[in-house]
Formats: sequence, C-alpha cells, structure tokens
Amino acid sequence: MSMHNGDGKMRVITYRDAIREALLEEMKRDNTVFLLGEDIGRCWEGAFKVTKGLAEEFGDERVRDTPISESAIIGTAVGAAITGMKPIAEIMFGDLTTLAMDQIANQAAKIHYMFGAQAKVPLVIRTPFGGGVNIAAHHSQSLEAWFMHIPGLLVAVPSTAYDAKGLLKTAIQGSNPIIFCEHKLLYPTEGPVPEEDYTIPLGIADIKNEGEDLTIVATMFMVHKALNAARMLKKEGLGIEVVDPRTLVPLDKKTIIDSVKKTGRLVIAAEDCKTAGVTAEIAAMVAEEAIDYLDAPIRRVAEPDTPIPFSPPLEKYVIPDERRIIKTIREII
Amino acid sequence: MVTKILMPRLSLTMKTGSVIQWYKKEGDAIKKGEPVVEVLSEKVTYDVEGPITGVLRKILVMEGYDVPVGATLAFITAPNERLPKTEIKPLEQPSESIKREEGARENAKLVMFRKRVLASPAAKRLAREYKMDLTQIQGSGFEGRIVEQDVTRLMEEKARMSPSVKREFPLTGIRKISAERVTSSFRTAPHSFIIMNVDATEAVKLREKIKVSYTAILIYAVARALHEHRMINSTLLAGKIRLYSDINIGIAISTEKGLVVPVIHNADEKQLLKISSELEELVDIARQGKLSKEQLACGTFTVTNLGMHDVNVFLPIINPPEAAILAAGRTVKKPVVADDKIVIKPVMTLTLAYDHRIVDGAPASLFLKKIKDIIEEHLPF
Repeated sequence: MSMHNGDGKMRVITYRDAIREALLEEMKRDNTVFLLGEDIGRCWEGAFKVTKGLAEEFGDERVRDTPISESAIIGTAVGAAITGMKPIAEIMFGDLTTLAMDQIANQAAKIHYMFGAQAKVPLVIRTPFGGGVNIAAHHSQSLEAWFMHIPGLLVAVPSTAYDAKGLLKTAIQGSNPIIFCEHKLLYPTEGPVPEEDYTIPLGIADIKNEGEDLTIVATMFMVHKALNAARMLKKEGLGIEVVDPRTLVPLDKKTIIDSVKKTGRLVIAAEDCKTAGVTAEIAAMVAEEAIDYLDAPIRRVAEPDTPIPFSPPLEKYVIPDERRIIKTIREII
Repeated sequence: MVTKILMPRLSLTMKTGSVIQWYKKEGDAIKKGEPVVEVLSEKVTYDVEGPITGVLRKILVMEGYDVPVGATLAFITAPNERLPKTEIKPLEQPSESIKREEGARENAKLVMFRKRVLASPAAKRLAREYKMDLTQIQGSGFEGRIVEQDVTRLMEEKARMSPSVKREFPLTGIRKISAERVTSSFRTAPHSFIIMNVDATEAVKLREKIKVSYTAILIYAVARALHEHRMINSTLLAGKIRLYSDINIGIAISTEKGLVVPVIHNADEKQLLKISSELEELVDIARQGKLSKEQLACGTFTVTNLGMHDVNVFLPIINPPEAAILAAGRTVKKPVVADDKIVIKPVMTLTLAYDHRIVDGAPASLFLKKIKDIIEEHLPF
C-alpha cells in the first residue's frame, strides 16, 4: 500500500528514528514546517528523544521549546497553521491533550468548517499514548477514541517504523488537523524502512498477517501482541489474519469487512478502555455492515474501565497481553 | 371463554404435525366431539374434534403448514363472544396457492417464526442463499449453534449426491400448463390401455390417390366411431359424467414452445378432405403460436400421432377431463398371416388410453375395433 516502489534499499531502524526521519525530511523539503512542544529543543530533545538533533540542524526558531501549557502549544499551532505555516506540535504525554482539548476540539477541528473553507488548519499533533512503562494513571492512557468522536480531526495510529514514517509524512503534507498517536513501547521497536522517499495514504489498512480462520483487528502496540498470538496459534494450525487499520479516521472499513467475509470471525484488540472505545466503534461498524458474514459473536480485547494502576503487577494485569488475546480467540473459534 | 384447539401428539416420537384440511371455516358453529380439522403426523392422519361446543372464531394455522406438537391451531369462543385483542395475532396468512410441496423454505420461515433456530448470522445468510431449511441442519458450534461450515458441509453433501447442473429455469407458459394437466390426469384418471393392429392397405391406397395425412384419416375414423360410442365422447368432472352431442377432436401438435391441442369441431359431420385442409391450417397456425381460444376450446376426444418419428407403439396420457385418447404409431410393412399365408401388409398400431372410471375394457375395445374397421374397410374414395 505504500507509495515507494519496493525496489529501493531497506534498512532496519527504530520507530523513534522513523518518526525523526519524517520530521527531518519534511522540514528540509518545506521551510514552513516547524516543531513546537515542551522540552523538544537542544536541552532535552523530547521526553522520548524523538526530536534528537533537530534543533542543531534547523535552529531554535524551527524547533521551539514552549512553556508548560498544552493549551498554549495547540492554540499557537492553530494560529500559525491558519496563517500558512505547517506546525507540528508535540504533547509530551497523550493524557495531557485533555489540557488542550478546547483548542483541539473546538478550534483546530472546527475552523475549516466554521469559516466556510476560507481557513485551513494544516496541523499535526504528535503525542504518545499507552501503558506498560510503569508511569501510572496520568501518563499511561490511550485516548485515541476521544478524537475519533470529533468530526474534523484525522487520527493516525501507526504500529511500525515503516507505517509511522509514511503516515507522518502524509500528515505533514496534508492540510487538515491530525492527531498522530504514537505508543511509548513502540519507540524502541525496529522495522525495515526504505531509504528512498515514500508516503502512506490515510485510510488504507494493512494486513500484517494473512489467515483464514479468524480476523483480529488490532491497533498500535496491540498489533504486535496480536502477531505473537497469531504465531503461537499457527502451531495449532489456526490461521489468524491480523488487520492493522493504521488510521482510525478515516477507517478502512472495506479491508476489515473483506477480511471478516473471508474468516467469519472477528476479535478486535486495542489498548484503550472497553466502553465507547476503538473496539466498540469497529465492532458496531461490522455488526451494522457485515453481520451476515459473522459465524460467531464479535469479541473485544480492551482494557477494563479502570485507571492504569501504578503497581507493576496490577498494570500488567490491566493491559491486555497475548494470553488474553489467545483466550478470547479460543472463545469463538 | 376462549378455548384453544391444539396440535395433538399422535405418537411418542411426533414432534411436528401438518394441518391437512379444515372441515370448518371461521365463524362456523361446532359441536363438542365433532371433527374440526384433519392433521397429519408422518403417515397417520387424524381428525381433531371440537373440545367444546361453540364457534370456530379464528384459525391460526392454514392448510399445508407444519407446527410443533402443542401449538395452537385455532380459537373457539361462545357464540356471541369476541376474541380478546390480547390473544396472539394469527401467523402470516399464506395465500391459497402456497402448499406444502412449494418447498421447505416457506415452511422453514414459519417454523423459525415459532421456534428460534440457533444459528450464526453467516449460517443464516448461506441458508437463505441456498434456500435451505435451517431446522433440518444439526449445529456443531457453541451450544449446538449452526455455523457456516454446517451449511456448507450439507451443501457439499447434497452436491455429491446429485449431478452437476448446467442450467436451471422455472416451469412457465405452455410447459407449465401442460405439466399441470398431465399431472392431474395421470394422478386422478386411472389409465387403462388397449392396443390393436390395423391393416393400413386401404389407407395407403387412399394416400396414393389424394394428398391426405394419416392423422387426418385417423380423425375421420375416430369421429365416425365416436358417433356410435357416445360414452367415450365424454368428460368426468366433479363427480359427473357428461356425454357430448358435439364430436370435437383435438390433435396433439408439438411446437417449439410445447404441446398444444387445437380442435376440429364437429369432425363427424366433416368430409375427409375438409378435415385434412382444416388440420393443415391448424398445424400451420399452431407452429406460429397463433392459435385462438376458439381453436383450442371444446375438445371432447384427442388424437396423438408419433408415427412420423418411427414410433411403433406408445402409451399416451389422457387429455383431462376427457374420457380417452387415441395414440397412433407408424404405418410400416410387416409380414402378416392372411388366409394361412404370410403376406406383406402395411400395419399401423393404435393404442387407446381410457379413463377406467368412465369406460370399461369391453366397450373401449369395441370402440377401437370400430376405428379399425373404418380404416380397413370404410374409407372414402
């Protein structure tokens, strides 16, 4: 599905470096692109080191450290975007987007519509979600579904280095606000990425593993857990198809439904809370549009409706893992 | 008080029963102990009697439908009593034409309406597509749920048990009418057959003199024979035998769209040449598919001839509600014993199929013998 022709050389890099490459390349290509966020500059280079070296390369004007005010970061970015710049705002933890919610939901998402398309907001908001690093309830949430619920926002959820770079470049080159969701545990993961320039269009799901017996739609870090589960079940002769939507808005319904038509069984795995979550939306969509192809009830693997505990054993219990995925698959196969 | 008539259990193993016939209609008074409805379980039929004296107020299960044992078939009320609105609504009313043999699908729909079938949505979709009755499938899924695989497995099984289909199309038009008529005839009229050889020497000579077909000769002979055997120029309908004064001979004609039977009216009053020219005209119009209602109406006897296709003998089906039909095979030279010598003669074999309810063997034989006599000795020219 990517735009590169596949003949070019590949090398293995981390998800973190893939994102940095996208930023670097787009900043080089377009001098209206600039970064802003807390501690992303030369002193700290970002909490997860994604912006490492960029301030040296492009200067403090284009890699701007901001005060600790998420609302101000997004407000500034929205203003800059309207006036023709291409801001890429980083919110250090996804949980803290809540502080900027008015700017995101009521300004960034609405301006194009409210001003009759006379103003555009080409804004990328990068932020890491997800748990598993023992930093408690204020720094471990997965709030992707909040943004799916706001018309006017795009939502990307890359799970691999390759997807992250290709999708981020598309996001930066676009002209609409996009919440670019990253996952803390994905930053150090490695994957093949082409050396040549490429982009990945929004709204095209990727089948990460083909199978005939059951479809599992998974997002972000859950994609990797689903792939592990598929590998383990393959030994028993079960073919699990892992579908990664890659963007939640727009959602590639067709690929999901086609896979369900093939397998007749669906499990959806995402790290956010179960109630009104990513899994709920996908389950409802399939129930509405493809129920006649289901041979078993849809099952969801999601977090219970609870804050992420600080206690490592409790956190491990709350965040779904491969065992939970396999147990859920067995319930309907 | 509202009393229910229920589907009775006629045997220990009976699960469902069919309603065969309602003896009463809605609004009829019924007496306690009086038969109200005939039901069927496997091969056993049984009359369900009125449980009380009252009025048959509402029939819930129409004729031809299956319901589980214990299902309510109808409500009985006192003469002036109305059925309370709280009583359950009748099941969807099937039209008269929907009968048992119209396939399991309609039945399945109704049974599903009453009894929930545990099946996955995918299994239900497939069953709909293949027009399969889910109630007949054993489920292998969770808690006995029918899953897609159960349906496909049964489909494959069925496919293995039947030849592959090149094309399937509905029975329509003349084919359909013809099918209904032969079925009704074959089922209701007890067919009996008598076969006779006819010396066709005179017929052959006649055909050397004038251009006339064997069929025309047969019509000529049959019409005149019927004149003396009125019982055979008749129909049986609704328990009544009707003898006709008109002798109208239908001729079975094969067309591209199917078999049609145009009629030569009052054939007994027409000369052979007249019959011959009318026949030619009718064949022509029939092949064009342009026969009028009048040309198809009022037949009292039918002649069918397959001699031109080298058929020797065949057993026809009576054109209902007529009493008999004459089938002619080919006229072919055969060694025949005449005056204790073997001679070669043209022979035609005639088969008369007759409805044994109307006619017996002896009069039928006399009738066929009369035809034979006319062809052998009494042809014109």
